[in-house]
Amino acid sequence: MTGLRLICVCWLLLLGGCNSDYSGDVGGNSGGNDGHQYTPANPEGKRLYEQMCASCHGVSGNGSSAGSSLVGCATCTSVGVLADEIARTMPIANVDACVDDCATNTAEYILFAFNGRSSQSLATELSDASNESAIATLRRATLALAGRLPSEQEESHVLNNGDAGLEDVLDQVMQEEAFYQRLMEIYNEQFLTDKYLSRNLNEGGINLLDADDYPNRKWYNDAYPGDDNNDFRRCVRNQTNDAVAREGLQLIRHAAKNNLPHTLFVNADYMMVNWYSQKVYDAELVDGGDFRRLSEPVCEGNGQTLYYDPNDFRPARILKPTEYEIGGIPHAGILTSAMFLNRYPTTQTNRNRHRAYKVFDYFLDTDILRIEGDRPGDGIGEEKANPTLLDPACYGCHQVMDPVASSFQHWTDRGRYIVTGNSSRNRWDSSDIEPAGLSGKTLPLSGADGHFRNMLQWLGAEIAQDPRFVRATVRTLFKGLIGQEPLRTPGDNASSSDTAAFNEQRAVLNQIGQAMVSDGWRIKTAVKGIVMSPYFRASASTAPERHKQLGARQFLSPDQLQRKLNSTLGFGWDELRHENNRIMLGGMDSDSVTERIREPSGLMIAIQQRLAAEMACRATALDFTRQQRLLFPYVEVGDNANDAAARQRIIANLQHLHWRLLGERLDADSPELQASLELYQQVQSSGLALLENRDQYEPKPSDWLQWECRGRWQWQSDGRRGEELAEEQRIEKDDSYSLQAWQAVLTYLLSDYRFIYE
Amino acid sequence: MQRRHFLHLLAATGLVGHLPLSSRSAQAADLDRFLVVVNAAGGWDPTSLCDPKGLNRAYQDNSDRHEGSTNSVDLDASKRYGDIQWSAIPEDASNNVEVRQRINSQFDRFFTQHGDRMRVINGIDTGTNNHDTGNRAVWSGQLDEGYPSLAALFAAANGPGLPMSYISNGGYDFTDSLVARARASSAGFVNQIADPNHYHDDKGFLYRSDNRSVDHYAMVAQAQQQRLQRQQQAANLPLTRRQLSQLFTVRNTDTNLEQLTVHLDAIRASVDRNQHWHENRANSLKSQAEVVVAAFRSQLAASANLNTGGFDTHGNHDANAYPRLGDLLEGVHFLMQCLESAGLAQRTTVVIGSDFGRTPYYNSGNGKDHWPLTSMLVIDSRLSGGRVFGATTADFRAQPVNRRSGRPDSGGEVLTTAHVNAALRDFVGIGDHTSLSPYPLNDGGFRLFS
Repeated sequence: MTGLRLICVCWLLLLGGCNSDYSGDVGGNSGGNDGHQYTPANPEGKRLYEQMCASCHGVSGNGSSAGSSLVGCATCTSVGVLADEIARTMPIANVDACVDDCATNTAEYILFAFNGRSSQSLATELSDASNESAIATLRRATLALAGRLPSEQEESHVLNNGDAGLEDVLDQVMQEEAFYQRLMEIYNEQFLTDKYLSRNLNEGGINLLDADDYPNRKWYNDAYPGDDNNDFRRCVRNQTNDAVAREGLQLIRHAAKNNLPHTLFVNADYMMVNWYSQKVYDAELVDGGDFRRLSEPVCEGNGQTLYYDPNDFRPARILKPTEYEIGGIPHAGILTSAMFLNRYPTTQTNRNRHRAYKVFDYFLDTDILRIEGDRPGDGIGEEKANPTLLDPACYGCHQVMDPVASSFQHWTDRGRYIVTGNSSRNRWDSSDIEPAGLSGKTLPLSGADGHFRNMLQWLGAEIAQDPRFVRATVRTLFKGLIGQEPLRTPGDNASSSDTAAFNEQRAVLNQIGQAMVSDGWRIKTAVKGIVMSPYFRASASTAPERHKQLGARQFLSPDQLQRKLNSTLGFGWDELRHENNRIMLGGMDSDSVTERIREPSGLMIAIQQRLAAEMACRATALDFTRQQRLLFPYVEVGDNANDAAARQRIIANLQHLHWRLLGERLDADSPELQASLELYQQVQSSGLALLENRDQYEPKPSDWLQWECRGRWQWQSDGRRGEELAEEQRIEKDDSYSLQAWQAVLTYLLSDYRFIYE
Repeated sequence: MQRRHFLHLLAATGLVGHLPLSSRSAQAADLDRFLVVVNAAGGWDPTSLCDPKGLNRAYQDNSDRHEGSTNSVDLDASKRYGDIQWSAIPEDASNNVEVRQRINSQFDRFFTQHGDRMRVINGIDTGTNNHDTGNRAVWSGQLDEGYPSLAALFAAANGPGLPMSYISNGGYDFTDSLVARARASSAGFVNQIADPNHYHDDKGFLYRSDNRSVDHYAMVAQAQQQRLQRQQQAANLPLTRRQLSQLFTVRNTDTNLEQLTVHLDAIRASVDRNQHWHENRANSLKSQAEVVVAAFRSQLAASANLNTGGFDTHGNHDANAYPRLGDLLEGVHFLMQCLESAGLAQRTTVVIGSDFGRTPYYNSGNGKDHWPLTSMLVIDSRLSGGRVFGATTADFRAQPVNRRSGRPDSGGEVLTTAHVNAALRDFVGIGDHTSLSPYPLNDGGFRLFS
């Protein structure tokens, strides 16, 4: 029984391929135009499948506790890819039992029966669900990707051209710096290397670098010594540290910005530096040239200025010797970054297995801990001398994990590069661990193709070719943009609705991944695919059981909320400058708080309500002082809702506010618009009555606005008070009670579901 | 909106079934006991705190720093309360004599003032050197994913219906959906949000009269709720309906934050948070502590994670670790003062721990790297003080200890996080609770708190 179970486990692991893999050949050809027999089902393939595969992968291909789903599986992209996978790895107990015709027939059946239909249609719609309009998606997409509202021209382009126009605008939005920053933010939610930013830990990134390897790591101390330079040095230090801390994530930005393949994230033979961090490593720029200088100083003080753009990152290589190695560092994307290696460190006993676990999770969409098997409860197993190699209960996982762990052997617990060897300071006992490799492929150590000294470069190249990397990438983006993990493989007892939901989603994500790869591995293609997909755009469903998780609105993180405030009101909320407050609102610091809270508690809602009240107070009168009003372009101070003409202006402005703040296009007579109008009227008439009888109330009503709510200052993007307005510009009184009525409406809208979920 | 009105409204709209865990309706009686866990994030060094080894020269092959010793300062016989020995403060902790004196007094004050109800647990083998795994093991008792944290289990067993039942300021806070999490770390901010419309002197941003006969914010609130109901009825996606329902319910639930601020003010009036604090140093642990105690006092929360970082001292260990440890102990001391002030000191268990330990020798950067052995401190008025359970060797390695005495015993067993968590569950009174049945732990027969 145990043996049988183990066989099934291995099916999972290697066709694990099939749970979690895509192919590098992702032409999406399972529709039947490649000369293979898809329709009708290959009968021999069906027989073979039922005989050898169905017990683990399920008769319907949906998987079981012992085997993963084959619907939209990564190697389910062509018969050639899938047949090759089967021939090499299946069935695990006898991998020679199904090769050649057997593998081809089985692959044809799997592609027809479980993947044929799902791969044919474009992934922009789901049956039984409908999408929001292109213009609605435009607004949400610009906010989600670039933290801004669409321009009038963009809106007009989409109104005239529908989805095609939307795609045009998305292409433009994804060239903005805000998008690249958002991309890194999404990836940091997974990799958490922002832990080392200066705002979390002074010199957090720099201190990870060994002083003997990088004697100039704190170059700013020598360049700007003395107490007089304290402030200036602090600025340079922070810029330097943050560039070091972000070097891994900058690879994503670099590839996206330059239309290079996202695979550079794992296989770039260089790192990313800016002017500040280049000095830390004494790294040589790959393409030479000078760093960009800004017109305004980045750091200034004690008579000194630095203008180098902290966002100007360039590919560079460390070629100089380190303490123990000559020839510098064999870069392999983020895999060789000290930030990644320290965020996921190792020990003498762990032997890089945690790093391997993360590699499988982050780059190969495989959760090692979910591999089925009889893992001993006490972690000790059968007390064999070498359980990870000899105890079947351990070997199931370790045969997958340990080759990757071995590939990290030249990188110490602190992320230093020291090649292992008998006389090396970095010892590696290879007798009790699998040799370096990946997915059954062993890393060549010597000869023309030898990779002994640059194992991670080999691993990075293998990952870049591995079909599972496609799905891992789509998964990361999906979670970042939709706010949910993709659905997990349904279990044995899953309902038909859950199974259908999984199949449906798998097919869509599969297509997005294929499109990305076909387009030269451009990550923007995957981002656009997700935004255009029903998982971002769905607005209604007639199959609620199947579509339980459909819908991309998510409770905004503090950073997203701040961006939204800036884009809608023109300034941010000062309370979100403080990390404690951001964490209370469900944020994270990438260190001890590494997970966002997406389901708000009473406390978080209370924060939102406070935000609405404060921001409405500060924004209302201020907006009326602006030459170009953001919020109240159609009305004037003093407009009374009982006056017919004014009422029309108020209605027009309410339509504007509902669109600007909530993304709702409302007709003048719609119930929602009428409700907002009623609130305006209610507060205004109540306020006017107060002013007429001001002696009857305590505190005494006044024509003067509350000090905080007066239009007499600008407010900055981080929420701090800005410059004072010229006296003639100021608006400080409200004897018509129109400003306070608008303030009430604004409070109402800023605390709305559609504002705090996006 | 008053709660009774809210319930009527719920009944009228058919939404009673959507009441989340955070509704107070399930709360039968006031809580009798509370739990605070304090996480020193990053992996602290027990030998710099409560398991010092001094200048033992035990690792001369591994390090040329401090002659291969575990610590850079020798043991000080005066740093002792009963069996509890704590570390002296080395010169490398700071070039500034005043800073060293401050740290020294933080250590001394903590152990001498709270030692009479403290149990130090030394020599706990976490079985990992990985931050995430260590954090999980220390606070749940299991290396693998899936077990809720001790504080989550406590809240689930004692007050699942409280509005902020489990306050988490970070660290391991997995709940397995047994209870809702809330993060509450800034007292000033909580004070500010308790009344969204409060401007100053009880004036609102939007006008309200003192007797509330005129209240423009109430008009807004009413309009909000009516819109939420319309939105729920119009929602065409199940997820949207769930989110709207949750928002409707949470927004109407009486969070009682006003009570929290009342108690917060009382605590602040009686406990001086700056007494031992340099005003230029961050004091987020104190901010977290006072909010948590006020929440306990207001019967809003049952348990809490306090969290403070900076213990991952791979470089310049002494200069980074000792000030952090001093601030940690100062923060816990402040927590105890707040609990005392709120009348909860006799009813609250405080547990202090970290991901794992640090190497018993210094690396080339004068830092210390990861090491699987750690310690935990438990403060509870029911404990006889000055006692240590568990032990490490002179060179800070694990060793078997006697299950009853906790002293070295070759016939005993090495203490693990599972043993400690099992014992803690019993000690805080949830060992037999039904909500724990999916998360069994083996206590190994250890009697840590007898």
